[in-house]
Formats: sequence, structure tokens, C-alpha cells
Amino acid sequence: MSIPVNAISRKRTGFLVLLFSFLLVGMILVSASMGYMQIGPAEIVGIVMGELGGGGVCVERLDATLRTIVMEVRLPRILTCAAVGGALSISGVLFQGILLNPLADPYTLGVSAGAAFGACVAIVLSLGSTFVPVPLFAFVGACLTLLLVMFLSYTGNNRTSAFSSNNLILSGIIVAAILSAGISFLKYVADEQVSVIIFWLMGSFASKTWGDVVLTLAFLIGGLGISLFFARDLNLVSLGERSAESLGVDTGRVTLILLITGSLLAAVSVSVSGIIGFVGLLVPHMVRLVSGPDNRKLIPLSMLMGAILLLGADTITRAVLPHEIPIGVLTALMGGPVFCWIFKRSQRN
Amino acid sequence: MEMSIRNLSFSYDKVPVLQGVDLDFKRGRFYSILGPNGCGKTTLLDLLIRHRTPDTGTITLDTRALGRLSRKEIAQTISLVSQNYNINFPFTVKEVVMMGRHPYISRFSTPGAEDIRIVDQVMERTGINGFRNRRITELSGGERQRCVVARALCQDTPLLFLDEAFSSMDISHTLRLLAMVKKEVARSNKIVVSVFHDINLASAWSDSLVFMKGGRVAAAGDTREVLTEAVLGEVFEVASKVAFNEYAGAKQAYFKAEGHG
Repeated sequence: MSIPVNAISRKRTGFLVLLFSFLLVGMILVSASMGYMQIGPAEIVGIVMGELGGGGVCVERLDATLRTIVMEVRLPRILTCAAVGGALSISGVLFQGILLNPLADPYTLGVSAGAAFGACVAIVLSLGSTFVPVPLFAFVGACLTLLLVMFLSYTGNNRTSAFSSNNLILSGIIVAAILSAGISFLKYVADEQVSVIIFWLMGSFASKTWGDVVLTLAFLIGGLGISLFFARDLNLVSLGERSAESLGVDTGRVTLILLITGSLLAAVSVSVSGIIGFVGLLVPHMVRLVSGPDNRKLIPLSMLMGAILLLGADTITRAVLPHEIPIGVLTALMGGPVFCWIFKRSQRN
Repeated sequence: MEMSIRNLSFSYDKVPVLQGVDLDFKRGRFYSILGPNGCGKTTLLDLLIRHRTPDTGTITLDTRALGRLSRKEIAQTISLVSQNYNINFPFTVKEVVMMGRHPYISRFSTPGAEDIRIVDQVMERTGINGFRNRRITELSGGERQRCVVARALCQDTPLLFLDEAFSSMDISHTLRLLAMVKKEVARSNKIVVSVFHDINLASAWSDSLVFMKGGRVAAAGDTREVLTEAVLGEVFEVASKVAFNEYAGAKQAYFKAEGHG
């Protein structure tokens, strides 16, 4: 009797992955067709096919302007946005799983504050335009913050529980608080640069390039691979450290690898697009309602759902609203109430 | 399978927790570890499942040193019911019990027919089949603890460690699971090592008792020989009366209502 149940659950996951993938492709097409200039989905497919085929027959028939809009403006933005949505969601699943805390998100360990601080330093010192781009500063800031947080929470003598959930969360809060003060100070001394800082912090996908697409997709694919490889071990970690180890999981190693994976996914996301809240917190919760807590299902489904939702939000701010508002503001305004609803609902059950 | 422990010591931050522990666990026997809070019982189990590494001393399984076994080999040899039976995410009961088969299922495959058969059978015998599809987070403490014991039984190992595994269960389920475990010991020649706080329960079910105090073994041996008023007085610093009880079929300890000291 149990064999069919198992097979059904497997089939169901496969069906959901397929369904979400179709939705994502549909969302990408819809988003690419919307904007100042309406372009039909069929034309978009034609343009993309033409590009992939190395500039075949289709391209010649189509307007060069349309081609530029789709290939150079909309698609880089859309694909970066989808990749960031996926990366933040995987990161959220990983942090919630490692920290054994459903309220954790990609920014719990202060990665966002580190990235923001790095970006602010670059902007205030006007380094961004001269040497290296602001995103690189943000990425370095995020990585240094992660190292500091791990150093603070590392309890060396007790090698098997090297990173306790409480230690990590507390260190993250402390470091983020210090960095926030630093950011405030930099804003204070920034004079006319302050608006640049504020806009950077609120996040945006405007004027993304194919370079951003490649970068975020590379991190996303790597992160997805590592997360799926350790997904089953992450399930066992939720039984508690001792139980997981007695079942053959090297808890310390799995925790460390997934912590770094989740942080890098968050760091690259913040570096490319600024601080976008609520995606990493909300998406794993929503998907858990459908898939249950098994990380082997949760990770791929969350990635797809995160991509769909963030792209939806970005399309709204880019093409539906009369003026573009920062994507970070929009996700918080939409995600916050949804989270309240889910939170209240889960308490009742 | 036989486990022998020689001269085992361990300290946290130079505070000694275990000092010079020598013990032998032989197959087909049920052992209980008794001792006051903080005497090193859980730390001892931590060392025995290689959750922590001892400072000095050796642990050998038959002829092989525990340290030379891979994590997977250890997981196929020793199962543990830990004191902590909290599970943070809403897995179903069946999913949690199936996690006990983890050491036998390779990374990207799904449970085979044998795994499913064992899980079904154990859930039936531990009386948790009735709520197999419920979420573990919705169950009471005792129910959850029964699921965790079932998970360890599914691991089907020659050694089973129980760290206060019955602390939240009612007496009926405690006896039911103890009877199951005891039967496994006799039938499959297993070794069971259980940390208990209830001296009388330990006495009724165990072949041997190990008393620990201050990180050392204070007394160890056959239950009938080692459970005495003198040992209880030394280990727990309480006055007691120990006598054979016909109904329990074992020695039982009695304490005075105001009998401390």
C-alpha cells in the first residue's frame, strides 16, 4: 500500500516542478512583451530563436529596434531578476534549515548589511566609477561579514557543534547592527551622494546586462547543485545534531558547506540588485504549504517559485505602474501582508 | 558484536567530564546507565556514537577501533534515541520514521521495498501507525518520543542507545516499547544501553547496571548484585531500602517521603 503512495508523492513533485517551470517560462514571455512598447510573445520567441540560430531569416524580417529592446534591455533584466529570485529563495530554504528556525532568511547572518556597507564605501569614496564596480565592493563586504560572523560564533574546542544556531543568529544580529550604524554614518557624510546610496539600498533591476545574467545564473546553478546534493542531509539536521550524526550525517561539514552556499547566493543577489527583502523568507513558507518540509522537493520548487514571484513584482514596477518604484520596497509592501496571513494561518492549524 | 571501552577520558575546556571509564558491553544483554544529573551519562553516549572524540582511551567494536569506522558504518552499527525529540519542521510521522533507513539508502535513490516493509512493521509494532500521516510537530511529547524510538528501531543496528528515551511516555507505552526492545535483545542478540532516571524500571528490565558518578564508573555488574542500598547511598546520596519484589520479579528500591540524607 505504501509503494503507490511513495510513487504518487514522487510523481506529484515532478508534476509541480514541470508546472512551475511552465509558469516561469510563461512569466518570462509575458514580462518581455510588456513595457513602454508592447511586443507580442510570438515576436519575442522569433527574436530569441533568431539570435540562438545565429541571426537567421527571422531577424531580418523583424524591426532592429524590437530586437534591441528584447535582447539588450528586457531579457537581461528579466533573466537577472528571475535568477536573483531563485537564488534568494534557495538561500532562504538553506538558512531556515540550518538555523532550525522558520523565521530565518538570507539576511539573518548580516550578509545584506555587509553588502550594503561595502557598496556605501564604494559610493562615498567614488571608487565605483574609477576602479572596480560597486557590486564587487558589495560582494566583498558580504563575504567579509560572513567570515566575521562565523569567526564570532565558532566554538573551536567543541568540534562537533562548531556552529550553533543561536550563536550564528546572535553574531549576525550584532554584526548587522554595527554595520547599519556604519551605513548611517556614511549616509551622513555622503552629501549629494546620499540619494545614490538610498537608491542602491532599495534595490533595482534597471539596466542589467548579460554579464549580470551570466554571473547570477552561474552562482544559481552551482548553489542549486550543492543544495540538492545535501538536501537529504539537511532534512536529517532538523532532527537535532546528535540524531543526525547517529544517522550518518556529518553535521558540522554539511552545516558549514550549506552556510557558505546560502551566503554566497545571498551575497551575489544583493551585489547585483540591492537589498530585496521578503522573497527569501516568504517563498520557502509558501512552497512548504504545497510540498511539505522535505528539502529535496522544497529546494527546486522554491527556486522556481521565487523566480516567478520576483519577476512578477519586477514586471509590475517596470511595466504596470506609472512610475518605477524600487523593487525592494515593492516586495516588502506585497510580501509583508502575505507573510502576516501565512503566519496567522499556520498558528491556527 | 561487542563493545569494549578502555580508560576513556573527556573534558570540556579542561573541565573533566569523564575520567578513566572502563566498560564492556556484550551481545544479547540489556544495560542501563544510572547516575545523578551531570555525571557524564550523555557525554559517554556522545563518545560512543562518535559525536565527540575522546581525549584519551579506546573504544573498540569487536576488533575494530570506533575511530576507524566511517560515519555510515557507525550509523549501520549503532542507533541512538537522543534526549532531544524536538523536530523543527512539520515532517509527517512516516517521513520521520523513514529517516531511520537513511544509512541504507544511497544519496539520490528512494526507499526500496525492504525499507518500506521495515518502516511499516515498526510503526505497527510501536503503535504509531494510527497517526502515520500526521505532522510530527502536532503530536504530544510522548507521541513524538515514540516516533523517535521507532525511527531508531528502523535503523536496525546491533547496538541501540537510549538516552532517557521514555521520559515523556505514559507507563503503558513505556512498558510496550521496553518489551519490544527486550525482545530484540533476545531474538537478534542486540546490545541495548539505556540511560534511565527510574531506578526501579531499570532494575526490572536490565541484565546489568552501570552506576556513574562524577565522570567515573562507581559500580557496574549484574543487576541483582550491584543494586544495593550502599551503592545508591554512595551514588545518589539518598537513604533507601532495596529488596526483591515478587510482583516486579526484580529488586526494587524504596525511598522515604522525607528521606533525603
